[in-house]
Amino acid sequence: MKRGDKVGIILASLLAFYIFFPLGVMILESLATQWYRIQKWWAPEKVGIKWYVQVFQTPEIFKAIWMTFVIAITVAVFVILLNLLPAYVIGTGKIKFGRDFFETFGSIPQTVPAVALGVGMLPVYSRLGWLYTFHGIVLAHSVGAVPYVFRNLTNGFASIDPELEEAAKVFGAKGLTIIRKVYLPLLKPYLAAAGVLAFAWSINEFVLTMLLGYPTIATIAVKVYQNAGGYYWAPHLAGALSTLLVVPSLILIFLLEKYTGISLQRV
Amino acid sequence: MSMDERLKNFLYFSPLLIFFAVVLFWPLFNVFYTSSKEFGLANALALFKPDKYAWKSLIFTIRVAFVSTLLSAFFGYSIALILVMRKSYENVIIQVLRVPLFVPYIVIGFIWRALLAPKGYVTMILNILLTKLGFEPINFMGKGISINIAHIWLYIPMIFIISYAALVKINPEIIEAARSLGASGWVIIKKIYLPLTWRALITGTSIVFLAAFVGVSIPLILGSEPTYFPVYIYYILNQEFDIAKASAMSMVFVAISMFLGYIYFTLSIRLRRGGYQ
Amino acid sequence: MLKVVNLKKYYGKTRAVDGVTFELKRKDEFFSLLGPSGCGKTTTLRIIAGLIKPDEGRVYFGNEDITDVPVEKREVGFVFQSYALFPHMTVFENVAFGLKLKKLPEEEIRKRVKEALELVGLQGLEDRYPRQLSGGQQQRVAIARAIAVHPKMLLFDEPLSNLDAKLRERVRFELVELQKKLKIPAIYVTHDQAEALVISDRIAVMNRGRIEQIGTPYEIYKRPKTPFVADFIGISNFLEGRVVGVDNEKGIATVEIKEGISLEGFLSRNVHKGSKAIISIRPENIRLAQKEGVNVVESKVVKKTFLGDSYDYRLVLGDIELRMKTGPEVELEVGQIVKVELKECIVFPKERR
Ligand SMILES: Nc1ncnc2c1ncn2[C@@H]1O[C@H](COP(=O)(O)OP(=O)(O)OP(=O)(O)O)[C@@H](O)[C@H]1O
Ligand SMILES: [Mg+2]
Repeated sequence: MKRGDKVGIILASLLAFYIFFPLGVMILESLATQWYRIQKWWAPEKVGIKWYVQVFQTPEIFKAIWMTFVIAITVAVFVILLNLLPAYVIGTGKIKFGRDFFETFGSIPQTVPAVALGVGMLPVYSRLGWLYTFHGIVLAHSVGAVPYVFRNLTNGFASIDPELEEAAKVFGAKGLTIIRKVYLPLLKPYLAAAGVLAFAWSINEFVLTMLLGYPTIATIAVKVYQNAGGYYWAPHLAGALSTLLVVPSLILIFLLEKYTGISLQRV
Repeated sequence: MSMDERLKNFLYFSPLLIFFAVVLFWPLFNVFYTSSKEFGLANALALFKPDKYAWKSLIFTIRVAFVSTLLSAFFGYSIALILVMRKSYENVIIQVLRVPLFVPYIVIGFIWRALLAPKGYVTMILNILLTKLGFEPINFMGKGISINIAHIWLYIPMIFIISYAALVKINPEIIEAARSLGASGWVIIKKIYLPLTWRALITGTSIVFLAAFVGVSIPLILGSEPTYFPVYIYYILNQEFDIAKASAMSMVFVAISMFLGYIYFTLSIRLRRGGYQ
Repeated sequence: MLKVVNLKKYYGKTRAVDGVTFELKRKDEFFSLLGPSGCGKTTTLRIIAGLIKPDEGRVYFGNEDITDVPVEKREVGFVFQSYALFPHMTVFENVAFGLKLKKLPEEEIRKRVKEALELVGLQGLEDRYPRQLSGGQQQRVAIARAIAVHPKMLLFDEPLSNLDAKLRERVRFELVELQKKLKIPAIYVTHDQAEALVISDRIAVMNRGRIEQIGTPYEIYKRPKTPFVADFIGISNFLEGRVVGVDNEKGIATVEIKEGISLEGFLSRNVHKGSKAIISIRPENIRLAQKEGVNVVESKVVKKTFLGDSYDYRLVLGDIELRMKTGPEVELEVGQIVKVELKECIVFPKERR
């Protein structure tokens, strides 16, 4: 890193301002309990945690917050389990024929518009009786999380020396035992990355929740939408909810990357 | 490979296959089936006559997504170029630019609505400047430009990350070789960096266009006239409860997305294989 | 010709280059920078090329100070360790790259590319891409690309280190031949002392960012100025002792290495009677002796290794171990006591580190 490079400093500060100013405004909206009206239009007159208290004391919103995390964690676990075996056969190169197809297969959901998927899911879910159910929403969120998890786990398996598996086989280990005893310990960072990305995807998911779960099931994203103009314009509540959604996950990601040395790739 | 082995591999893959079959392929088939059987092809095509709202919405959406993509590609790639060429503060800049990728879309929509509303910071500051300079004050809400502004906050980082990953893979000695042969600044960009990373750039651009084109959350919160196409489908479903019509409109959507997706996948497979490197 | 004066480049606390000065004497001199890994060879070469700016010091070409001229204006041909061929261009386009930038006419470009490819012996491969070439061919393309622009000097950064041993040996000679044909100065960076000895007109031996010695291969090998050079070039035995006599006229000093055993050797630098000194002797300069004489000592054979064209013996002289290299006809037995003569000893003052 070249210290004292003017272009570098200017670019870095401009970008930092560009990225963090909007997030700052989000937090400001959530903390401002009263705004000046005319002259100092840009500054809050009073700040406090009033809106956070309100958010946690409204049973319906509190339930949504709780629901968001339960769904997200379930989705992360489910999608990882779902992809473990496919990622294993692809990552270790066991499938030679049609490799590109299978590699691409896990990424298909990325190209399917969420709205179109929702349109198709409505009749399917109503026939299966999954509408407005917890597992219905978990499955719906899982679709979009598959590509991240599939890719991370495939990379994870690919990074492991195939001789390890052979060595394990020499000692008589088989199938699942190999995965459990040989791969899982080495996969930990990739599992963590996959889990966090699936989690992030789930809390981000909005359309499918709205179409297939609401009103029985609501998440923070739904509540943000309702307070950010969907039903009414309540920037203080939307701000508080957004902050609750963004700040913990950014901190979680930061800590995870710092302590495991992995870098989460969301593209 | 024996038959037995193949069957085993297929079995390993089956959980994902079953999952996709139920929650992805069946619904997509449903969209296709409903729109062709219940709605009828002729009716579906009639929706997209030039004077129909759906057509206007679609064209508007393509235009907005296109502008967002172009701007993001330009800025994202430029920042990546500056970074590989100057190598200053790169870690800081990369960390900063990764932040938007972890902000939920709905929150991005909310934040920019707060900023671009008539009393929002961006509008207020801009309008104070504009009136001082003697121009008419502007209003962002309900216009495509507000969607563009929110989009690029998310998509500049996306293009940046993809392009930067490709650019840093270039052997620095190649750049030095070009310089020792008399190339400088622009020539190096044009003759070395761009030819070696255009695949990544196109990949990034197609991902971003796809995302901008199909994403509901941001335009849903910001609102626009005409309505953004995915938002329009969402309204038909959620307010008019007309699944058949929504399916017919989704067909267009799925078709375009699949086409873009195809481009993206073929390119990303090439990229993974290492391209020129 | 090229002259660099007191070049310095620090990276934080690392003194990559710490006061390097040398001058090329002839127009077609082949000059090598030789030293262990991390001693600052590449950094020096890149300063000369203009790829990095020195913290201090100047670079002159002819009478011109070119320190602040950027690389793209210096007209140097640089051959990189990784070859750095443009992967998206054919051989022809690679070699023509610099010529096109000079906006030469199409005809002229074609002619010069052909010329350059002929010089490196690579006709007929113009339309191949670098990945379709072998390592040796890629290396030649890199050289052709560097010479096609008719540079004012050629700079090589370990260009042969990715080739196999046989090919390396052949290309070495071709490289020198080519450079003499072009009549432009060349600076060659390597950590391979055998390579440097074979191809260079003169060598600068570097250590920790400084030049230890500049000289012809012969001088460097026979008259190393520092123990480091003696050690780095070839193999040397080192003995410590105290100076008991100095003959400045003949350039000879006598050093007592043990009670009653003194050796005579050439002075590398001034030493004072009574001070501590180091003596270096190459294994091949230890010979069996028949009778007593100057520098003849008695020692015991403790180990014997057959190396095909020679024997490597380990001898002990009390607590001092010596390596001796002899022809395959010299048969000694382990445990045998032999008289050996230590020829061409070099005496260095022992420096306090
Ligand atoms: N860009 C840099 N940043 C920090 N330190 C550097 C940089 N370039 C070189 N160094 C350090 O400077 C010293 C000299 O490096 P240089 O590359 O010149 O060595 P070298 O003699 O070419 O070694 P080698 O034979 O391994 O190529 C090394 O200790 C190296 O780590
Ligand atoms: Mg080097």
